[in-house]
Amino acid sequence: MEAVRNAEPARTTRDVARPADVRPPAESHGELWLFTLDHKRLAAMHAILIGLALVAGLFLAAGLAMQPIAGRGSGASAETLRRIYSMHGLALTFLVALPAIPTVLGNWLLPERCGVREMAWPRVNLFSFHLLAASLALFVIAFLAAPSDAGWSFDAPFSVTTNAPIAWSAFAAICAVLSFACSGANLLATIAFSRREASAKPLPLFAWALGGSALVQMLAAPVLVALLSILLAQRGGTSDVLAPTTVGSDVAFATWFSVWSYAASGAVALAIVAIVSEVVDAHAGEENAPAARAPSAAVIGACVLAFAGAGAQGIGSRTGTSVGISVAGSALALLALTPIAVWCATWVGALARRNQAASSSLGFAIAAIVLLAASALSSLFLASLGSGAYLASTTFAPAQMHFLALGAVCAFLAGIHHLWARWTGGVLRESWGWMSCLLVLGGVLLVCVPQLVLGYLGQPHRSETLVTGEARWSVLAALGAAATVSGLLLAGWNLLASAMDARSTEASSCQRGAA
Amino acid sequence: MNALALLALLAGPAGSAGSAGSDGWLPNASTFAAPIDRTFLMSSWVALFLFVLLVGALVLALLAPRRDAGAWADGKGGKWMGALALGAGLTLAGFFVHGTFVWADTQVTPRGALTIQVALEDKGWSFTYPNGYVATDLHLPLDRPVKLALRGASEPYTFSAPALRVQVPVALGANRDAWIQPTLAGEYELRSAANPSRRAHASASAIVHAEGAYDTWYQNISGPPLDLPPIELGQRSYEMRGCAQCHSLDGAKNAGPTFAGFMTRQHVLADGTVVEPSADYIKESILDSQAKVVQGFEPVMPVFRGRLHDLEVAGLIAFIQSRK
Repeated sequence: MEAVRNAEPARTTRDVARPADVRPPAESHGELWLFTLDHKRLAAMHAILIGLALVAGLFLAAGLAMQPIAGRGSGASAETLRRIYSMHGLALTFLVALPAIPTVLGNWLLPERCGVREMAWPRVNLFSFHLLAASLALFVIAFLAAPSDAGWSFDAPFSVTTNAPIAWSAFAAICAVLSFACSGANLLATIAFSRREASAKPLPLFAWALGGSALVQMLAAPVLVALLSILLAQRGGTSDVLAPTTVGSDVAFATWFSVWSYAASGAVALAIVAIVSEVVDAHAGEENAPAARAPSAAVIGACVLAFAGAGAQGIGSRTGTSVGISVAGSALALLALTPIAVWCATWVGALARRNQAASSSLGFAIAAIVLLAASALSSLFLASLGSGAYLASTTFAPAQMHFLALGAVCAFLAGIHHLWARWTGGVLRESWGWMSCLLVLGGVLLVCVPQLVLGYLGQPHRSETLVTGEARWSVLAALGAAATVSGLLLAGWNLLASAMDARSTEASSCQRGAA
Repeated sequence: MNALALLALLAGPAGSAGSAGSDGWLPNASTFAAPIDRTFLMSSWVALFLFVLLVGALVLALLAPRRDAGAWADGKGGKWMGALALGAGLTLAGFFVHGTFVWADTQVTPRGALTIQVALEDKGWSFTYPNGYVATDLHLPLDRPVKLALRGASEPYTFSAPALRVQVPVALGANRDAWIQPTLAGEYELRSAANPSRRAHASASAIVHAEGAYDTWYQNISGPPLDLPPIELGQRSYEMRGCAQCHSLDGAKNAGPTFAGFMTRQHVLADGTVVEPSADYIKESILDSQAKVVQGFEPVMPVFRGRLHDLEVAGLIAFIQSRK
């Protein structure tokens, strides 16, 4: 990452100083979208890539949710299920939840919100897209060749001993994380360099939160890259750190993985905050937009807590071997919930004073607020040691993570709906938009709330069999998954249909003009 | 239906859950159940209240008529935010303190607790009692603290007994202690939430014996007092462990060879080989009874490896040798 940054400084300064130079003549991109330096085109390319991963991940999710009600006759072995779990988690974590908001909406909106015309480092931006595309390609190869079966968190020692070729998925994850680091550096540089532009505007909460998210992702990236490199070295026989005979190597791996994943969760939460603030502020109207001071201070606080908490929570949650670290982790994880309360209150206040009609983009933003709050409230159970030590290895923990991940998907869709008319000229059907966002929100609650209850009942997570007598909950989860998937497909159809309508209207008006 | 069940869970006081084991909710089978459930219920109420408050506020804000003038940015917002952050911080501090005390209690094993060694192997759980007896189910006394010495295995696993409110992850090859004090007799599910692993579903029962029944069970598995002289100890074992049912002392032919004149005759095995009587042969036949089966007998004797104390085995050998 440093090398990339050092290689670019001369160009960077010039680019920012004269943003107009960055855009090559329009006719040269026509055939070269893959190598475009234009931030809006890169946003569109990212959107296509992430859309593909989202659809693939969702069908895997639907398959998983249907499995318990399909029954034992469905023919899926425990190993097949583990592979589906793993690929579902990998695709949706590394290609959707983490990159969606910064790469698509950040790329599209950040220069405008900071008062500059381009991202600071367009070539780094392109490089980040290529890394993400490589990551998608590697995941596709992994999926077709032999899917990883060690979970999305590459659980050691299983990831060391399994016969599945983990390398494809591990390289895919490394590419994705490096891509986050590049786009994170770019977003931060854009914010920082924009401050010396004459056209600079005061930073809105959108920029604060997105910058915070980028910073957290950037600093967390080396942890995962190092960890997966060690895993690959171990599998290749050149390292002995993770050997299954090494006492506690699984804990060391899980600890460092959760340092990354805790920081990544913080980054996702901040990205949700960025988009929700953008959409809510747009509906509140400029004069009613909340003063950004308290929420922005909360952003800084959340960043600090995400880092401090990452270390302590990571160590405390899994091993429980160190009393001090467990207690400190609990305190930090609980404290990290405070900023979310501040943001929720800010949004409710802004919404109550809105002067724009409620559009379906606001619907998705509200769904994202509700899911972010649900995630924070379920963290309450996990972060308090009294219930957390009992719930940590049950389905309660993944349910909390799913609230956050699907909150990110809802925030992403809120931003896309918000920008769609400007982006494609398409006019969205509001009723479809509201219906899809209600389906998604209802579906996610239906999937995850039963998982919370099953967690209390002691259901271990990623287990193929349910705790005795609790099959009834899986029916709800299957219904919820069906609702979520159909809501997202409806939203996708609404977006595509309106864009195609706009295009055909444009074509016919051109024809009329020509005639 | 399920929503009602969820509400029932949230509304029911923790104490009443014990009688509700049959309808799918967790029984209160250990001293941890009440405090952990209290923490869970307290969190549930706070979370539910805040969630309903937020959703209600969002819906009201959406339905409220649009306004033109706003007074959000006039500085009052900041004070409200400060108050809110303080309130949230204090609530969370309450959660922290309460949760830490509940957790601390689960971490400190009381003195004088009965120690049971717990291990997870390829064939499933094994529980080793102080007398050396190895059980495949976890037998627990009522109302007495029990220390579980969890032995690390070649894969990480979780010792999971929801009814007792115990979930203890055990790292690869590392030992870890936990403790419980059962409060309700019954048979409960015990799982190894190892993940992902070939033993993911090794399951067993945690059997909490009613008042006094544990001592009877323990005496039964303990066999004779180990401080007896070897031959006497062997004779008591012969009577208590069920040997007498198949192996006579007077030369009568039962399901197994008689012990009369055991050391003075050659033993012909099912495959025709001849074995000279020796202490090693007797020991092998007790611990790994299927290894050498005498001609004319079915291989029906249970395997005693891990089920008898070494002194008891030595006693049995001495006893059989003494029968000449």
